[in-house]
Amino acid sequence: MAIPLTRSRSGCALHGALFTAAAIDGVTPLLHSTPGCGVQAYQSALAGGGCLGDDRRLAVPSSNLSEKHIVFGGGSRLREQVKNAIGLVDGELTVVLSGCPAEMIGDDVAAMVQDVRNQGEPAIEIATAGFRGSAYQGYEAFLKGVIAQRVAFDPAPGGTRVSLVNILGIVPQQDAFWLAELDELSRMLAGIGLHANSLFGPDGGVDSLRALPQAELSLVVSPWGLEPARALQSRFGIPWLQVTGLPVGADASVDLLRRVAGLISPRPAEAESYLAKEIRREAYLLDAVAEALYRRQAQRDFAVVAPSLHAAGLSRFLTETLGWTARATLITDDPAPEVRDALAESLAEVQFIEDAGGIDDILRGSGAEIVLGSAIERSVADELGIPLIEVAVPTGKHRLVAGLGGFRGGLALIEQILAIG
Amino acid sequence: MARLPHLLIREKRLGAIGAYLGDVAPLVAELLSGQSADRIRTFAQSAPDDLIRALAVLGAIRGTAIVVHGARGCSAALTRFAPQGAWAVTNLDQRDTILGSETILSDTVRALVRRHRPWAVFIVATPVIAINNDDIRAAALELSEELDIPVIEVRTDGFRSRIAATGFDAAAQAVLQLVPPAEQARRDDLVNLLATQAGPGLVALERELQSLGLTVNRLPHAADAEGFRRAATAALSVTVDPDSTAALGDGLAAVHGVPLLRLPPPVGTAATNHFVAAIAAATGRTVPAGIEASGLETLSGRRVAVAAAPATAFALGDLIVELEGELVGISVDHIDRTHIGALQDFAVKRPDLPLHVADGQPFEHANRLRRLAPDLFIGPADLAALAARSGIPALSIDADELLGYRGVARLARRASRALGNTALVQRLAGGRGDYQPGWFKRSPDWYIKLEVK
Repeated sequence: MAIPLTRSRSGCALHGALFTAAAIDGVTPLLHSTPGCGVQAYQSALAGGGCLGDDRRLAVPSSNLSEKHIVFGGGSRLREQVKNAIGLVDGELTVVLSGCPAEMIGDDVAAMVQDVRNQGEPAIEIATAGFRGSAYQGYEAFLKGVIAQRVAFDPAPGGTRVSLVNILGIVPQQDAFWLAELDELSRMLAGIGLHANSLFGPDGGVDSLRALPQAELSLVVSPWGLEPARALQSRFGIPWLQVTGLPVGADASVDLLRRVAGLISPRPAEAESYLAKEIRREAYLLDAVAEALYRRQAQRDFAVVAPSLHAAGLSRFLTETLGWTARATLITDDPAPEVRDALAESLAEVQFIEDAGGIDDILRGSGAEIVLGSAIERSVADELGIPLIEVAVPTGKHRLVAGLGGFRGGLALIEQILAIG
Repeated sequence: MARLPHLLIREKRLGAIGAYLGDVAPLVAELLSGQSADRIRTFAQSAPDDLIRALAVLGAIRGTAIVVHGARGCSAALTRFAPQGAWAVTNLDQRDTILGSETILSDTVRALVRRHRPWAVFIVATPVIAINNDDIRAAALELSEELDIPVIEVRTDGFRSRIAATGFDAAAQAVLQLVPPAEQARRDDLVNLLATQAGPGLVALERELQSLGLTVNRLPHAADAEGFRRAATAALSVTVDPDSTAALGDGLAAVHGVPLLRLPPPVGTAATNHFVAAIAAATGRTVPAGIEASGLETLSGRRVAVAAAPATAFALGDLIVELEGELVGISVDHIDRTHIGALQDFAVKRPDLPLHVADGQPFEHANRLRRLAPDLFIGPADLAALAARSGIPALSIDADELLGYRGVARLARRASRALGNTALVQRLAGGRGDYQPGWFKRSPDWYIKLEVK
């Protein structure tokens, strides 16, 4: 049964699948739903995914079901839309995403898309009605759906590409600064001699999607990458490594990279010298800003309000590198119960909560002196008279270069702490 | 509570059309005939719907709460329209879509009221609810009595109308219920200024009206309970954007006898002079002399294409001419019978200029802009970015920013900047295209067809 949400910070499954598809160059997402579904996703992206509030990728082909289709069925409209989309939009793989109305009226999307495939056109369908869950679940459904369908890997992938690592678990638009996070993780992997397969953005695309089965390893950086990683293992035998969110700062980044390197054979030779260089860099810069930090209350009691991708890493960096004290670590993306213990391990004051009203109540009683959260926490932060650093969606902050993860992410966070005075 | 009249969609109420490219004269004849043809797109891109328009209006009212009754994605736009607002979504799952969800709705309203103490609650319907037929009205009636505040159904559904502006009408029907009958005599110094968007343009207009000795009661944008309470005592209502607020003005006239002064949007010096003078005259004030624009950078010799909501677009077209530019393209998101006068005027002034009607649909704009190759495009940010990627200098300007005397200078300055330095346009142009080359050999209206009954 439904659990109502005040000021929901995540769109629906359709939105997550759309964000994911639209972030892969060469994929044409096609919505089979009412007209507004794509625009709701667009508006929430404008509210802030930390970068790329993207008019172009979200202006998606859509069957725009009207009352007639709701009453009599939208199959023929979908057929028409797919046919015309293939003739008009420049893409290599069409992915039909069904919305609530299409699923409620029982349109046989699978049969329709099979007809398209029978004509030799690469197309797949994924059930992504909004009532199936959040945008995170839409990301998961999209990747699982793609991996499960042969046409996504046609022509068949070649053999394993040495040093290729799939990055799974970063949800475009829905995870703050998603492209910057992918960039940093890719840079870090390159530092130890590996190649990231990040799927999205300028380094991704349909070829990256087709290369998923060729990786040596899937690196799962949030619970939402777990099911796709399992599917890749089950279908193609690719091992996976799951970590509890993005590492933030040198200690966590080094730990992650050593674990990754340990699973790649042969272990990259250049890894340790690269790690030493990054450790030196963070130490140098921390030393350089030490006085500035002490002029601004070097240590504070904090609350983090963020999804699984960022919450644990931020909380650990603040406690273990800066010596701050966690008053609340609130994880907002409603991960599955079986992964919650791992996410909460070694963290203080962890709660899993999505409802903005409930989060406000916890923050009011937390004693936190600073909040790291989304723009939704602005009102309670103002009410409490404490600063807010925006680290989650929705956010008005745009970060094209450095997100919050990895070596650069820790330093970027310090920059923001210094900026608030 | 008396049963509300059925909400007529814009297609039925005003013969609205959402897809068109062609001459204006036959369009006027069609609208005058009262028998608008049903045009559809056989290829379409996602487009705003009534739900999104209603949320934009309702999210800007002060002190009220919104419950979106549906799947969580149907409230996503509120993260942009009202990130700090009092709103919730019932977050229906698959089971709820089958077995119904009235209890969840009531519980959500109660919880939101306990937390935020709003003076009214809007329950916004969504496609899921329209299909499974949850009885929002009954829940709203019960909750109104129980909570002793207005709990109001907003009759959106996301698919009955292809014209998103129907959502303005749904919002108007809802907010009208917040206006109580006048308890005091009508005030001849009080004017309801109807607007769904506010920024520097509207604020400047309010100052103009205040300088006439008028008190401005802005509705519904940023209005509070007091604003709604006094609305029925106003001397008149006037709208800066009839496409979004004329239905509210008509409702205030029909229910409370507050006359609606129908004026073209105050975009451009002449239109602003007319707007201020007409209100002064209608409220018995001395009509100000008006001002003459001077010292503006002109668009002389420049071919300009514009895209906007219809009333604003027609006004913007006149403003381009006021700035000595040549209007070579005009796109509006819909057209209906309220625009017949503007269309007739348009046809007289520019008999050879076709009209494009599309809400969203950037593929049509991309094709059309390539053919028009204007020197400058003026429109919303998404289309401005599209134009820039096509190598066309562009500026993005909100409807609000065009309002009033300073709107003219604002537009002229931005146009001058856009035309004076095209570095970004040159950088963006020539990137990867979104559409196959064959699309640009076809007419932009290739996929617009008359619907077969």
